[in-house]
Amino acid sequence: MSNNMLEINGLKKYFPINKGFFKKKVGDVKAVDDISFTLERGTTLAIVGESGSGKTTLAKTIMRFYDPTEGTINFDDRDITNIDQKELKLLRQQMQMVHQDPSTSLNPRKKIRDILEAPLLIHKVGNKQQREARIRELINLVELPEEFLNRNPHSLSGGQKQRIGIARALALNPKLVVLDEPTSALDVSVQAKIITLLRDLQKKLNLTYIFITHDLSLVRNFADQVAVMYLGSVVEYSDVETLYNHPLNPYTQSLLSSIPVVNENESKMLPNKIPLEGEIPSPTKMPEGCKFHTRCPYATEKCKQRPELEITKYGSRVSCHFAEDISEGKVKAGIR
Amino acid sequence: MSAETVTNEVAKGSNSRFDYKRAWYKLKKSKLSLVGLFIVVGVIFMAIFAPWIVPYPADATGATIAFDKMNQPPSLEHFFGTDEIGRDIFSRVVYGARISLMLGILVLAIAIGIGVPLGLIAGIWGGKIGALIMRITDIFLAIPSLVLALAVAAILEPTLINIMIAISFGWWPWFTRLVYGEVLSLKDEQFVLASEGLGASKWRIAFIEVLPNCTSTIIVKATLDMGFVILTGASLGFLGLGAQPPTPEWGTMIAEGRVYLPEMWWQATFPGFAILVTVLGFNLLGDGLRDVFDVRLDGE
Amino acid sequence: MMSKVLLSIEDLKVHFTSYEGTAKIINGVNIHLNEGEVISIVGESGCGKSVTVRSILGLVPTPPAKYVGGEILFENRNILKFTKDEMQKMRGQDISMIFQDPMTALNPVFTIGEQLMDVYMWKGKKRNILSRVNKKLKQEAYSRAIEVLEKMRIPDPTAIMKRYPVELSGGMRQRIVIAMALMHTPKLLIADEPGTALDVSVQDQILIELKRLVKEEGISMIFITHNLGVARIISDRVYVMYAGEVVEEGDAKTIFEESYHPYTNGLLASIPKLDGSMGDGIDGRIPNFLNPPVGCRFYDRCTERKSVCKDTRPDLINLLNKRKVACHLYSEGRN
Repeated sequence: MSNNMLEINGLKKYFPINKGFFKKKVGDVKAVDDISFTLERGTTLAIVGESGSGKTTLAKTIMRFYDPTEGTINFDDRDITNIDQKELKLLRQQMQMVHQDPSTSLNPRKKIRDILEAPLLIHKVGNKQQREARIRELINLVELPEEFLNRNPHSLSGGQKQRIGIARALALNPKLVVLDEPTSALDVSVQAKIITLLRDLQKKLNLTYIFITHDLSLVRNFADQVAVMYLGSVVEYSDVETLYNHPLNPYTQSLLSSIPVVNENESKMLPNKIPLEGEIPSPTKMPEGCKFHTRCPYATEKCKQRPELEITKYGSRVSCHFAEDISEGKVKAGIR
Repeated sequence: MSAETVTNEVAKGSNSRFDYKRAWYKLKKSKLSLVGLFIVVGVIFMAIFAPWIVPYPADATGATIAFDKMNQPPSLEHFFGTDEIGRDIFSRVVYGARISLMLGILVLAIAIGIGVPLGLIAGIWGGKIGALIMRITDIFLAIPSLVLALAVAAILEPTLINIMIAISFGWWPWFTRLVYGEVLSLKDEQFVLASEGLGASKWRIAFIEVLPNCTSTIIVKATLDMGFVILTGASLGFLGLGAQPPTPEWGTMIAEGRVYLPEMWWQATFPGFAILVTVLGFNLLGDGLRDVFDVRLDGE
Repeated sequence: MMSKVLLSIEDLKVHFTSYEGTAKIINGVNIHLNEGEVISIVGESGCGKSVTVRSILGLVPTPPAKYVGGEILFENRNILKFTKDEMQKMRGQDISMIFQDPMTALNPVFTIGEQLMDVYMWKGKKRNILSRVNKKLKQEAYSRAIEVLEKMRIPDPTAIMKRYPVELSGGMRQRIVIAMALMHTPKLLIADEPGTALDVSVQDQILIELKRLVKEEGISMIFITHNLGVARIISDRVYVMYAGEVVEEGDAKTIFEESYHPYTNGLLASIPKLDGSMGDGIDGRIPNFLNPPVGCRFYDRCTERKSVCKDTRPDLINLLNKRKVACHLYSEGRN
């Protein structure tokens, strides 16, 4: 058993663009464009990006909701890139997902008990009594009273619903859990509770997490590794401390600098404000060269060529021609 | 157990079964829905207890000829008057409710039985199967249901059972279309994705996860359709393709009474009135139910 | 120096009737806004911030809502007593509102130009068909639209005027929605969480533009948000609401540096900090509005509650530095 839960190599997921009456293929949406990383057992990788960055597509391709266009996925020392439907069903036991909006991820017409029993029924786990015992175990695991089993989702608060969503994901003892913005629909005071619960569960059950988020401020106290995505590519990949202390990609810097903080102390920790022009381009019209150059304040002629992810002196991997120069303060924003 | 959860138990004691009190509260808000409910309950009551409430039960089903009572206008003895062979029209109209309701319920049962599973399959499976089902549905929808029913009724012998088959033949595609549309929007809900992620089969997703979320739409549609099915049945009866005399079917009765208009107006008017009121009742109730099933919780 | 008060909400109480009973949603809210000032109302879902500001525009349907107490004074006139015509006239002219979702706030079948000009030409009376063919008015509306777009620093305004909403990005649409609200240069602008549907970097740009613009034009603004950081950036003063009541108010620069009310404290602690620290969140959930606590509405969830909190509602009391807090911890001169 290797130390890695997940090894992704050159993963690509393209969606064809079809046009005209005969649905001729005219191009591709490169939702996931050549991504590689490894994820150690029991750790958390945060995938950070704005909407349209391809973070959710990446997670869904890893979970094999989509067939990858290219590249390999190794999960738990096994190549799962091309497994068939039957094996896929078995794989679902080991890879689970917690969804974004708990008010729609739980079937409104079902009782909580039915929702938690569904995974057990689908995979034919145990008999009626064993399943009931497991359901009770699960609801205790997420710190809810057993009376909730007889309720409908709509009588629960957002935080409670998300706890049920987590319990359902854990029902089959998965090894890897993908958390797809699990707190973005919740209030901050509830978010803190859910994050604490997820952290406790990770320790207790030795879970490996992929944490998808657009909120960089959440990442630092939750993840071990961070991958910042922009238009289908990873532009910066490092451990969480390095990312906060030495963000080297201008995009990462701009993301960090636009976090609305609540006090003076914190605003001192932000990098200098990097004004971005415009918005993330449409993935159907991907810019040539560095994908970020249309919005980057540092961009020059050189950026017409695509930069590779290169290891920097802080140990992070950054795709930017000027990463070293930026770290040494040689380049100033606004020079074109 | 965290404190968050403890305090919340009191927050809402709502249980999971259908909340009849809330439904009644919402229905009550609209006077017209209440009128609809009143009419529908009345019609059902008439249908069930017809033999006990009508003054002349034998007239309803029989072809007894009573020359002494022919063509009498409405009176205290005969509320709706009598027809050309002396039968009590009131008794026949009340009995007619039985036939119309039975027709409506059976037609809709067949239409839902065929239409709903097809819509679910087309929506969840999609692809070639879905396209095939929906194109067949479109073909059926392109032919007016009354014309289709006429054609089928003309081929088959004109009996009540055959007329039901004929109407159902044109009715199921509406349910397929309805459920298909509903499934397409529900398919994007995260709970469908969630069960897919749990490894659930398409059958499970279609019939266990998605179907319960379509029931309210189906019930509303069925209630509204009840009126129209009854109307279609009566139209066929009027054209002589439906229930045959002496069956006290409202459409057939109008056809019989039509000859004596306008002098003996009561013979065609009262069955027609019965159709009008019944169809109206189901429509009003259907509209009310739409509000009741509206998932948005008021005041929250 | 006292600046002039533009709007003041005095002891506003709103109830909602539903099948379950009467929900006491807004329970004695006091908010005031000076001319040229920007205030934020912050709070989590269910705190009543939206109902409060929508009341200013008469956008809360009655029934189910019922105004059981208090008044909303705009330039010393009680809005709650306005006739339909008066309300119509005030909306869009004196007070404008920016809604949360830029995707649905624009009509997809009209161009940006048509929508902006329409706002200008509609002077709050019954829609005058003739105004559409009035060349002079049209010309005026056109140049006003261009002017506002330029003020928003939208590149190439003449081209944008001809575009349809679907052709624009989310951020651009949000800017257009803001431009629309500014067509008449309102005295008061109400912003209901604009930008929350957008990405942080875009939201950031828009908030900076919005703040600059209202300050330049001297427009007063009420900004509602659930994000304390955003409130701090955009406003001069902040009101923190919980369960239909204002629990704390103060200067935007200082309120989050040192907060007093246990709810504000809990909220602040819950926010993930850049240094990696994050509190445990607040236990429990907002009270049932059908049967809210008699005393402090935060009683059930409060970590510092005393016996007095259970039965006595705390008043909003003045502390130092324009700070007001509704909490019994400070009612005995402790500050």
